[in-house]
Amino acid sequence: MNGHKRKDFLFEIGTEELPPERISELVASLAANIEKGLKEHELTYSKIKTYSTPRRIAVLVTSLITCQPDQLFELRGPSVEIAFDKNNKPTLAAEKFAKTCGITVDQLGYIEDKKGKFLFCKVTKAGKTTADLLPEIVITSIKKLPITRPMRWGDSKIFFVRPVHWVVMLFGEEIISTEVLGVKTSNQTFGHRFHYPQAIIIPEAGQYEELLENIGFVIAESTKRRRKICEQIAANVKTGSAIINENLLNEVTDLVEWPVVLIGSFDSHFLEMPQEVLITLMEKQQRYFPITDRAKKLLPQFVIISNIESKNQARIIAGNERVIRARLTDAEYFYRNDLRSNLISHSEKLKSVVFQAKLGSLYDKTLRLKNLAGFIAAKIKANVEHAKRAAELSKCDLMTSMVWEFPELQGIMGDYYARGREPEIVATAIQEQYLPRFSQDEIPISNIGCALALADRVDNLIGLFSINKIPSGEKDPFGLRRAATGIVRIILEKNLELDLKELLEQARLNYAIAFENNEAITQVLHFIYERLRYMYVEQGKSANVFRAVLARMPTDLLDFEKRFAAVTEFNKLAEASDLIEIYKRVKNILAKADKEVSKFNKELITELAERNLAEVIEKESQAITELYKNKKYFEILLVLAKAKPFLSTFFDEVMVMVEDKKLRLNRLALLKNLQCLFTLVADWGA
Amino acid sequence: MTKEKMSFQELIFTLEHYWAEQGCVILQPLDMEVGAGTFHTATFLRAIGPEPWNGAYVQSCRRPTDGRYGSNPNRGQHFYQFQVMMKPSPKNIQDIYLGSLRALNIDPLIDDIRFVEDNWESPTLGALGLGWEVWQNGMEISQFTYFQQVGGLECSPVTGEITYGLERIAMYLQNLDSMYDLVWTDKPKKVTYGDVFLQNEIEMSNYNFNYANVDELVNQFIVYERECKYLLELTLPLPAYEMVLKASHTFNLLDARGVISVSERQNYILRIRTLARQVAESYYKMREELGFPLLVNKS
Repeated sequence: MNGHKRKDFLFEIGTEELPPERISELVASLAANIEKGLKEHELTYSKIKTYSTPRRIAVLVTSLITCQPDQLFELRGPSVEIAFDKNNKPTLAAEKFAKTCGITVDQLGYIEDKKGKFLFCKVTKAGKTTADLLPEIVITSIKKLPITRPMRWGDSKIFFVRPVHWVVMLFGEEIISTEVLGVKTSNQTFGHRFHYPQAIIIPEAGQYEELLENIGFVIAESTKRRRKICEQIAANVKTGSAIINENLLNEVTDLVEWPVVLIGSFDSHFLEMPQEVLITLMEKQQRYFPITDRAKKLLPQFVIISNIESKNQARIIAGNERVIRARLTDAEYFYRNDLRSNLISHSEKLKSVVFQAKLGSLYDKTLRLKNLAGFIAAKIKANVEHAKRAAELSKCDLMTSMVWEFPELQGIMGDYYARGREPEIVATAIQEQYLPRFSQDEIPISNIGCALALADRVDNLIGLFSINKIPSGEKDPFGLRRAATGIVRIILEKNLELDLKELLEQARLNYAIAFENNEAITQVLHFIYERLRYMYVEQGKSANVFRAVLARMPTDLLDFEKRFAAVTEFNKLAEASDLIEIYKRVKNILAKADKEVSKFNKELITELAERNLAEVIEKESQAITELYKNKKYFEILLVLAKAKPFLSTFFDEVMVMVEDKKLRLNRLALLKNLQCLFTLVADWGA
Repeated sequence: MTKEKMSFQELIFTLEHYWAEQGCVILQPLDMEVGAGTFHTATFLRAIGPEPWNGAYVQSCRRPTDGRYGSNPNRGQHFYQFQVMMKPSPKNIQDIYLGSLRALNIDPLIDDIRFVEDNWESPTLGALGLGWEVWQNGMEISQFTYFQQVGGLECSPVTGEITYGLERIAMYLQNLDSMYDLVWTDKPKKVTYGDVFLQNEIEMSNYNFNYANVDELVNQFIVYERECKYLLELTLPLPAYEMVLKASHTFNLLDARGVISVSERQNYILRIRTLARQVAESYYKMREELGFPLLVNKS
């Protein structure tokens, strides 16, 4: 038995250049699929390692067992009544079962349970060799890869991310021969496209990484390649330091097999342009890392990550410098051109840009934003005129050459172009309107920026919900979830006293047209609460408390937070759980009771506990109303907690649903009064 | 290969010669206004159906909106592409392409050559493909695409398309910053790209942006569209395709005149795409009726 022997298994797919943003997901998924396949077949191993470059994805399984363990099966056959005839001779059914087990009927055993006595057999099947199982495991793993845009090439019918050129399947020293993605497997990989284009024979799976690095000019492991890039950047950037954008670093890592860092420069007069323009241009268009000085001011230099050890590095640098010079010249032309006209002069052009077919142009949107931002500014005690001006200017930069060329600079360019011509806070707000752009992003600092950012998001939500463009499942093409989260964050983090319902109604009024969906305001309100719930749950807050507070639908988010805090605090009290039980009981009784209502009448009191409760309610109502006005929610709950003994006694001693209708209705009315006090803050029965 | 700088016309000769050796039919530019080499019948129509085809040609391209009155050193409303299409795409098509760079004195052990993902889509032609921009030291010098769909039809076999930006490559080879300074030829007398095209660039920019007759163009578009449909009814896909090209260029001119709003723009594109699809289907049927002549081996 060779079941205990172990060898390394290597699987590599060699391709034409893969899309960099897909590579890491692809190889991780390949590894996970292979792991699953190995486990399903009870093939044990030490660990799984992945390799990926633009031209290959590979998985190395170390110390993989060479044979499956023997497989034990317990087989139950027909019952003895069926297995043997009157003469105790085995029937056809018995013979058949014995054959399945690979033995004769007299060699079979028996098993007896509640259902009777049955033929029985334990069968041991020798485990298959790993070498036999690997082709199927690998092919299944490939079929399950997440390929978003599969392609074909030549005249083959095979689909993959990019054309496949070679496939290595090596178990120890043994080639696992099969066909994968239309290619016969072998033990041959290939080196760097230019430095070592020829085949490299891999004698043994474990030598893969080393051979590629020592002979092939390929650093196959992406984390190692990334580390090398960082080290080289650190070594080569002598003055200042590179801005390392994590996404860019990952992308660049997956664009090279043999990274060589070079430093290029450009004429310093380009630095007169906004830094954001230069950074965007370097990062997005050219995949360069910008360099800054100690004060974080941009230097006229950049980091190039090339893929070869050039015989003439100066040529590569000069080539890249030529490209950046042309692009910077273009950008400078746009910038100068844009600066010539006043930002507001672009306003007219917004009329020809559709915001959404049914919701008018961007110009129409601007008019709505002007109203809404002004409305919000008044509510949050910000300068209304500034808010209106910021709204008027908010979308104008979309019509400038620079934003046309670099859409990600929206807002930023508006800020620059407004500076010196508009109040500073207006310029800042134009930039801040897009904040927060993602979940951990910062929110606007200025109150005008907050007003504009809120107005923009509320207008989007109301407009799109009104024409039934409501996000569902994964689909949220207009980023409405992000918009709602933004609203919640701005209001809560800036402590803005705003009534959401009022805000949504105002936004709806701005659309002076009839819509197919009349429920939009309520739906958006719930949609926003849904985001709030999501944020609360993420912060580990109680979903039960959330539900209880939500039942009261406080449309002011700060009020929501206060109630939430009060209930959370209340829940820590010793009386809390009993009180909640009592409340639920009250709610149940009222739900089942007569629909007829009467006013509580002291004259009809018969029991002491009833009188005591009535007195407490009467006495505390006054205090609670006062507390409620001042939003002292926890204090309200404290009052109720103190009244707990009276409540308990009432339920112990007084029967509510008595025969006498007058008495019954009176007691129900008392409970109703009690319920009103309870549900002022939250509704636990929700 | 000589070490002196390659002239613009030598660049074209070299590519033509190289691709002829790779078995391509060397064609001349399509004699109509097109926005890219892909619009040439030798790419768009030949990519349809099962028949094999290898072709290469220079195509003059017109993109009215890119006009800069000759003031931008890299961009103009008229430029040249060198287009190669191979169907089915050979397994080593990337290597064949790299061979063409070597023929142009571009050494991938000196220059950093990269295949950077860039998926291509032509909304007007109903075509899409996957592939790369090819970068030389950070500059895009070619577009490399495996067609997946053309005229709304799935490609089988798949066409490999390579498009060289001739002015860009020449600027690099001649170490110049402006395309108008490019040496077209210097034997015996130096003639520059500017000598050939600068006046044209200025006048055409002026025409495209300021004087093209909008009302007339709007009307022409309608006429070309109607003619195309009529020709399709007559099962004449090739003349119908010419109408698609004329309609497409008319749209580009209207676009440059700045009279098309965003929603109208979408509508125009959709109309052209519908025509292109119908032509593609009609062309396929026609080739089928002819028995896919190029599938037959002629010795």
